[in-house]
Amino acid sequence: MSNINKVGSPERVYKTDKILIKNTDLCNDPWRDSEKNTEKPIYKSVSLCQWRQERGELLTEEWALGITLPADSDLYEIDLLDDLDKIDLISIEFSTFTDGRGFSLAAQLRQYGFTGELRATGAIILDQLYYLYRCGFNAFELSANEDVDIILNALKAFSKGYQPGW
Amino acid sequence: MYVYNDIDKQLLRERVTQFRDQTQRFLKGNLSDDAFLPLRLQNGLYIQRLAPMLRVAVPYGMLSSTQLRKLASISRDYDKGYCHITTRQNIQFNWPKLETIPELLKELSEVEMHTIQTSGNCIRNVTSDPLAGVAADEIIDPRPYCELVRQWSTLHPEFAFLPRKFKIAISGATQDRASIQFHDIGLQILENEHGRGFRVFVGGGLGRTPIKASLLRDFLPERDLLSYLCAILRIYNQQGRRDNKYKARLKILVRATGIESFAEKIEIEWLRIRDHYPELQEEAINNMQNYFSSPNYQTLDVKTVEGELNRLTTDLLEPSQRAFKRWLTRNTGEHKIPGYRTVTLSLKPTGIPAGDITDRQLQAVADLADRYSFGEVRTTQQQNIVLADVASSDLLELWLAAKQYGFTSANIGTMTDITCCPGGDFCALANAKSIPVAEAIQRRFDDMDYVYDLGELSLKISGCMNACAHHSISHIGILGVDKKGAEFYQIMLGGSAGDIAKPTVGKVIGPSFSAADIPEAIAIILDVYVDKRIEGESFIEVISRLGLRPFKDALYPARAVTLKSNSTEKTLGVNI
Repeated sequence: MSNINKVGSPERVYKTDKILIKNTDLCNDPWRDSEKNTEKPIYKSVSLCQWRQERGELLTEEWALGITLPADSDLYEIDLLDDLDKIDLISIEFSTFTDGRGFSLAAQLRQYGFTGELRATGAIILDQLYYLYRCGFNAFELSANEDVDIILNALKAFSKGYQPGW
Repeated sequence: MYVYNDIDKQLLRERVTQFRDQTQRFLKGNLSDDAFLPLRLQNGLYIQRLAPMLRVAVPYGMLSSTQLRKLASISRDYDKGYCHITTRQNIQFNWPKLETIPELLKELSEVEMHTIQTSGNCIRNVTSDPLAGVAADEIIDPRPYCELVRQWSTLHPEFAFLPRKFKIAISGATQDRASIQFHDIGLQILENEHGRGFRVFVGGGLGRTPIKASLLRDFLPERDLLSYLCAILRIYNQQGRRDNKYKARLKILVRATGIESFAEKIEIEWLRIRDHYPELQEEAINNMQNYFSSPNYQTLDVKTVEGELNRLTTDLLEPSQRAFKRWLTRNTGEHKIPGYRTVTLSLKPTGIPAGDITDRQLQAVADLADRYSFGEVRTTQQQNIVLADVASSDLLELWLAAKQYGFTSANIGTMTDITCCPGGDFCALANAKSIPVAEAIQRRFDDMDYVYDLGELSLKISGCMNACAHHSISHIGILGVDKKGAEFYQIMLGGSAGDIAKPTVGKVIGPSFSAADIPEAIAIILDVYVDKRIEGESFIEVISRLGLRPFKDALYPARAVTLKSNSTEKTLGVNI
């Protein structure tokens, strides 16, 4: 839980050197764009810390709600499972690409029926995209320096998997 | 033996392409060292002391003659004409060039082989009983389950970046020849009134903290195998320590949590997973079993065959015939089919690093397998090769043929059948050399009558505490340690893994020795055994009866031992 205050804080500044790939397409990030330009955003994204403090208010508004979780979050300790159907985006932030906890967290969220956007952010590398996708991620925030064709190819590294996936 | 289907082949092609691309990006400087590291490790590629080392997966030790021939040609074309059998039943190449590895992988894929997950912090190659399917004490053939677990764990998206490596072993016999209780997960197949299933052991391991596994579940129905494995791996992935690589293995988590609360965690996670997880269907298991059905054994006239063998081995006086008899006693074993024997080809002749095998020998093993054992062999934890299905009537012919290639050292299961890691001669992790120590012991104990008289005795040497040679579960274990830049060797006694009821980690006997003193120290230990044994008692039995005390007293009288070596007196350089 030590990462809660470090990542996904409300002051978080989205860097413009990031691109978003969603469902195998390059797209704009409505959460980022919305927060920049409007007083009352249609898209609202919060940290886990904020979610815990303001859950009630956050759920009453009409906006599309996004929450950022550190990859080491324990799903059973963060009071999220009952509200999965009310959340539109869950971003899982990886602090280092060799820390695989975010893969399991994503698989658990899908297993519990989360159907919204599941986004991998932070220290991920292209060579992990296929595995991330198979664990249930359908969106990836990556450096704008990456070549989109290479990203899309990495997402299709394998045509099948031996395991049940999402 | 399992045969790849179209999906297996497709996935393997895709992996080869993926790794080719990763290697090219690395060589061009587009992939950093840090990013390439886990990717190459997950393809079995280490950067070693002298050159890259590439580890090839041999699933649960099974190899076909076609695969052996390919390994022979790869040894020739990409390496220096030999390779090495590891203590996890895999094959290692010591000298391939990084830029040739993508092509090497392509060649391997042509014979349904690969290097996937033979290293790195992921689920490693599944290991098993080298006598699976033929052992006289087998209850259920573990190989179909091994293959199911192999497939499930291969390219598993969720478990590629674990806290540390993860090893699974499966056994289906009364005697444990796979050391399952020294694995992260050990599965013992059993059958009871609830049907077929597994006794699940968890949190065993060797390395710097050797720990015997704890029993996690007494009976897991076979249909739940994969969902249950998923639960264990997920808890480990999320809760295993990542702050200290020496405390990151599952064994540490299990010990810190306590087996009861660990079992509770697993149970809760499993019940959550199970409903979303496809069961292992009976049909899938049956299909897999078909790949491992018995070969077409001949119906042998057992009486005549055995009679002939007896005649050959009892009445004859020629030295060569005595040698055959020794080989027959030491290097062949019981088979479930009357008239058949299992044959172990010894890769432990004196002076050759344990488990090393040349291209010519690989070719020869392939020919022997085709001629005498239905075209298949198994690699063993002890770094030998087993021909599992040999008709007794072929034994003499096989022996004569195998002799030409140096496979007939009649030392299987004896103290000169030394298991030995590559050690400081090759491995970047090693603290000390291990190969020369093994050779010195073999040379010191070259009187085979003495060696046979000692009976069943395992001796294993690891060049560092990563314990690749499994020295801590050896009757006599030797560990290379670094003392202020000098190589020393610690001796452990009393380890054993074969008895499923009481697997034991050996105990360090005392201060370490220099390499030069090791053979003599072993001699002292063996003298104590010979002196103390009561008729028929094995080495390990004497240790369990008497403990280490008499051995300690003999080795360290007043902590400075005077030894008789080469008929001159000298002081054993004990390093305290």
